[in-house]
Amino acid sequence: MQIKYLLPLLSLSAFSQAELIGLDESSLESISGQTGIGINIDKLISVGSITYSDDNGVASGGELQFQNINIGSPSDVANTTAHSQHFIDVDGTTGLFIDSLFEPTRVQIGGISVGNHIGTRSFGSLIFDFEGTNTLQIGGATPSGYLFNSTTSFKNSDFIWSTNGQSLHFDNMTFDSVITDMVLEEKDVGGGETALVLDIAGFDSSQTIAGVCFSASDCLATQSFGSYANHISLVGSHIELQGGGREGPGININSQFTFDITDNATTDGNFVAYTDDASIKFAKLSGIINTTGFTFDIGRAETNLGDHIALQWDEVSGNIKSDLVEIAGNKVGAIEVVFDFSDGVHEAVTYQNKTLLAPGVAFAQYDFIADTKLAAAGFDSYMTDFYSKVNATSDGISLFNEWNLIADILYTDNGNTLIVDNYQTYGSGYTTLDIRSGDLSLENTNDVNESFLAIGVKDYKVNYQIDGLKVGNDTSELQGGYELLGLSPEASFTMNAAIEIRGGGAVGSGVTFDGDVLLSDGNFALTKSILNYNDGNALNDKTIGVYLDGVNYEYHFRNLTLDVDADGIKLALGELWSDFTVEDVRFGDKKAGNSLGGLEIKQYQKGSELIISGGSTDQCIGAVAGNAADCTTASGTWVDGSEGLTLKSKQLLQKRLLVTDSKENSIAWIANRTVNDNGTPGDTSDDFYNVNSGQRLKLDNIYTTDGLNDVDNTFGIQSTTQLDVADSKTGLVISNNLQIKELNVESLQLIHPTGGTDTLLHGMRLHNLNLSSTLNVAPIP
Amino acid sequence: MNFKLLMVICLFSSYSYGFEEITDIEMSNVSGQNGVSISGNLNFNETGGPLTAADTSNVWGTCAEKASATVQRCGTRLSAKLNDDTGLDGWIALDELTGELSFEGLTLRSREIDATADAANFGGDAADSSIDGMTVLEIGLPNQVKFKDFKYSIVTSSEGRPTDIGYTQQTRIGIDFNGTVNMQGNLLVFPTGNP
Repeated sequence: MQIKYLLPLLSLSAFSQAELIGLDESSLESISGQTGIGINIDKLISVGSITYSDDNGVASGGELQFQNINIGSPSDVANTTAHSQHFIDVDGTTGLFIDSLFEPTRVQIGGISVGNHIGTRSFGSLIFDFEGTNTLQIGGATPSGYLFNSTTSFKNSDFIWSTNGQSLHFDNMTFDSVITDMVLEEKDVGGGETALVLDIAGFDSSQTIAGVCFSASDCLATQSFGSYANHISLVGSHIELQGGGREGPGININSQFTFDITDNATTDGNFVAYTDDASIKFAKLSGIINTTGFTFDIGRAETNLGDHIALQWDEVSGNIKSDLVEIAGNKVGAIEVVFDFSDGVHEAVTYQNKTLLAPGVAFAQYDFIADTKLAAAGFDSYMTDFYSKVNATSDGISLFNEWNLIADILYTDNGNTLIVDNYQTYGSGYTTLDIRSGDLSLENTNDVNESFLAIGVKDYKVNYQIDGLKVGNDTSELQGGYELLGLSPEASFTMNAAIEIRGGGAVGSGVTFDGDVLLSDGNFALTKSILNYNDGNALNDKTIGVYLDGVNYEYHFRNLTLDVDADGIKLALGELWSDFTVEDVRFGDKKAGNSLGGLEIKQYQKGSELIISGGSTDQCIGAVAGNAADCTTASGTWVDGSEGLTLKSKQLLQKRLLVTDSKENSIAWIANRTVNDNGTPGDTSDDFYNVNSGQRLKLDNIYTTDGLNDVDNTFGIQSTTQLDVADSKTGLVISNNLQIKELNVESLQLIHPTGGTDTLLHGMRLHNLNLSSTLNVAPIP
Repeated sequence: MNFKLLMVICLFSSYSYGFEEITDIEMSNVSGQNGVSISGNLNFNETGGPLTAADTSNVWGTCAEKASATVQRCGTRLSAKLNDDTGLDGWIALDELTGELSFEGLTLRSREIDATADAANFGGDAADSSIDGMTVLEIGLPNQVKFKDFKYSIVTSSEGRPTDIGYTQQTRIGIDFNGTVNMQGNLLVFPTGNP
């Protein structure tokens, strides 16, 4: 790091006004018998820019510039001073003691930009308002270094991020923290190098955010996302800072953070919580996070981002566990993630863990018709329209992410554990974030004052897989069961999306989403088995299964709201329609297995909803009994419903009114297609099915009604699913109740590519279904 | 997604499948091949369905109401219209489905067929049926399926909805299952022909 920009920092003092003052009575009470000085500062600070540079002048590095910095009163940061009082003392035991009182103060940054973007576009402007107190003690540490103890309490704090005149506001925050015995020193870290080392014996912090909304003014409840609170206590933390980034100059950090589990003896201990009308809470947090080789650099000329901030990790590993997960006061159980983000090689490509950030909105004013895959899917117009509403000088954040993760996910329900075994994910892609005026919404139909966060996703290549599920512990037999929950154990796809997020839910605070999403080049496993899994040699493993290959999934949603109330997490799905096409249903290898043909599934719903809540229902598996003791006596397995997961859904399938309408519910199986070999004999990789070839068997125009006519449609398909984990013998317990008043299929058709359509059935109806099932899902014995 | 998956499986079964007898040797080989074993019960309209007497002018209601002759029906109905010609546009239906079935040890896994190793099971049929080396979706049938008051009728009717004006129906057959059905072997599902 160069220090040529230190002088502007020092010159800040020239803008401040300082005077010696007398201490008020409360301050005098706390420092009775001590000597020292009191300082009263009225700050009015204005700085044109502060620039950090790691430019080595040759091949790497660049400048990070903070522009138009003002510090003053929140009422008028440019013209009114912010007041603070400081008592400074030195004694023989604690060393330097600084007791500070900050009256309302605003720190404002007009823009932050990087490298070749400076002067053109920025990450947006930032405002941080705060008031509160801080005590800081600095003494000598044993055997060496400086010893810090600090207590901070801020209230009435606000953070506002603005782009292009619109704001995201974290309103009325509080922050309280205690740093205990932090030792700062320069240490030998081996290899002939030294590092600035912080060893923190204890760090205890609590934060609250009263509301988050898209407004520079205070948040109204109906426009707020809701509130947030956390308490985190760490013990024995360790941080090492060294000079030198991944390329030339920069910053390199190693760290270790450990949750203080003694805090969990109290009610919630370490926790994070989101509250709408009710709360989602992850409490009694424990675990450890190790980071090695975290680097901070200014990078140059990334293809789509240009110059950028580069954050990269050699490895982030550890585990985080919440022993108490609650939704609206109902217990879900405990969740633990054991994770390792480190480099990995997949199909001869190395994936690292890094995030590149650039100012502005990449892809602004792009015409996506040039993207042949998006154009072929008919999705280019959605992306072009989304990015037409910003331009090359718009502020925002553009990111490129690349990741590689291996993890185990453990869910414990009343002492029984389900392991999602060997979860692996890797990929990369671009994301853009900016805040827009309401009238720039997807269909330009929203109120101008309804500002929103615009999230663009470009070519996000996602890959994940799990080995399977295990019930009990890591030595338990591998099993499936995800099939019954509609989950894919292995998938890869490329995601492009235009998503809008607004404050306020269906009722009061909450979140509202609109979006257009395309998953392309997809491959999803319906079920899979790993042959030779138990032979002790992973090299012998061979994965076979049933795969959906060549998937394109175009998904649109409007006015989808998320609320949390006494019922749980409530997703009101507004209007959604989708087109799910599968080129091949393959048996065996996911890319080359024998094909059953293709599928086309269209979906069109309005007014559907999904509710996720904690807890389930007590039940006896394998016998008939009403309590645990009787169940055991009857040789059954008792499933305690005090913890668990319950999902309730209602799907209102809409009728296609006109044959020409594109939105419909239908399922078609396509087979007997002709293949274009693309002129390369023996090479099937570039082959494709000729358009409109093949025979289709189609369930056409599927819709729900209330059983009496073709119009009323309020009941739909209602499903309640409860998920519990029992012992390793019983496995997963999935209870379901499915109710349908009327489900209609207008016709079953056989469609020839040139010979026209034959109708096999002129109508199908399912009436009055009430199907209850209790299934226990275990390994094959 | 569950709905989609169900439909896919329905399509599979209409496309290509075969039955395989299962032996003790085969069972021992199954262990450790992951996959999943499912046990449990399905209960259709135990007390009735979501259509109520108040909604339907006493056509649908609870099974208690049906027993007391307050309503006409309480079960599930699945109907299809085979023709659309005037005068021939009636419906055939699986009607008044109620009752419970339970099973133990239904297995599901992907399996690679090896004609040599599996010779004891297929008796040479693997090669004859051209599935040697293929991956199949193996549905291991539960040894027993128990039925309890499992009832339905096959009917033909003049209209699609029993609440429609002028609805009439003829019952063609009535089924009432109680007892146990023994099932052995595997159902193998695999693709054949031109995709």
